[in-house]
Amino acid sequence: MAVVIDDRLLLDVLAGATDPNIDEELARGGVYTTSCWYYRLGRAVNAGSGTGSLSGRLAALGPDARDRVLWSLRELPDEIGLLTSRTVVPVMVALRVRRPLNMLNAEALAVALLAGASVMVTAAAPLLESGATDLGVAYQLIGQR
Amino acid sequence: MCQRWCRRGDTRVDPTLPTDPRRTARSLTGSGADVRDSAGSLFRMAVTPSLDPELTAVVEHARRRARDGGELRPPRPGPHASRLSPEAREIVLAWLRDGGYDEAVARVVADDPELATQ
Repeated sequence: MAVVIDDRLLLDVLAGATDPNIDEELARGGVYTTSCWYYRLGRAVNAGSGTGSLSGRLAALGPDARDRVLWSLRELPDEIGLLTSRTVVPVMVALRVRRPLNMLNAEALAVALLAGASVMVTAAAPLLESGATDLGVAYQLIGQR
Repeated sequence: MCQRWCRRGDTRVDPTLPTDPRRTARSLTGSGADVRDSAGSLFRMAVTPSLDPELTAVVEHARRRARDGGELRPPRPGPHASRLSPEAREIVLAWLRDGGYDEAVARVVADDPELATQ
């Protein structure tokens, strides 16, 4: 079954540590993410320069190598599907669920509906899950390695 | 609407049930039937889902446009090979595993609640 993955799973893919189930779907062209999750990943990766930040930790590789890594993590692989706002927004607007959704959650469900996919996340998301139930979208919460 | 929580490796799984979660969900007729979790994780499905007619129409229209525009499939389906060096990979994975990424996301979400996975 196709999947819409969250930012943490997307980072796993970028780092070459993909969940085997996602690997299977990648081979079939069935892995998507959303603009919000992709954006959130970018902001988290590029935030700060202290020792706790990724940039700070990558400093040990030298500035050029560090910059190459950060650039690599900004670019969405061609193997991952990303639907445009032109396609997704009308569906987001038309969603009718019991509990209000913010933009990130509405987009995730809309993309799942369009792609015929399940939503796969790494942190419990009660509102997203509730919306998925209302819409008949499969919701998967997976543990981290 | 009947909903089931399903876990991988449940020894009560009926091997005759189809592995596709959606087909499996539609085949449930009541409580007591466990299903195979092909995703290998906690998996929640809705049985007999139904979208309202307006949403159905919007989804179908958008899907058709996306399909006609070649948008529904990734540009290059297939396995992804990471471009990170082994050293960079270890740093990124350590950052993920020790909570560094989660802390960074928490700061992002604190600034922008629209980016919270609620």
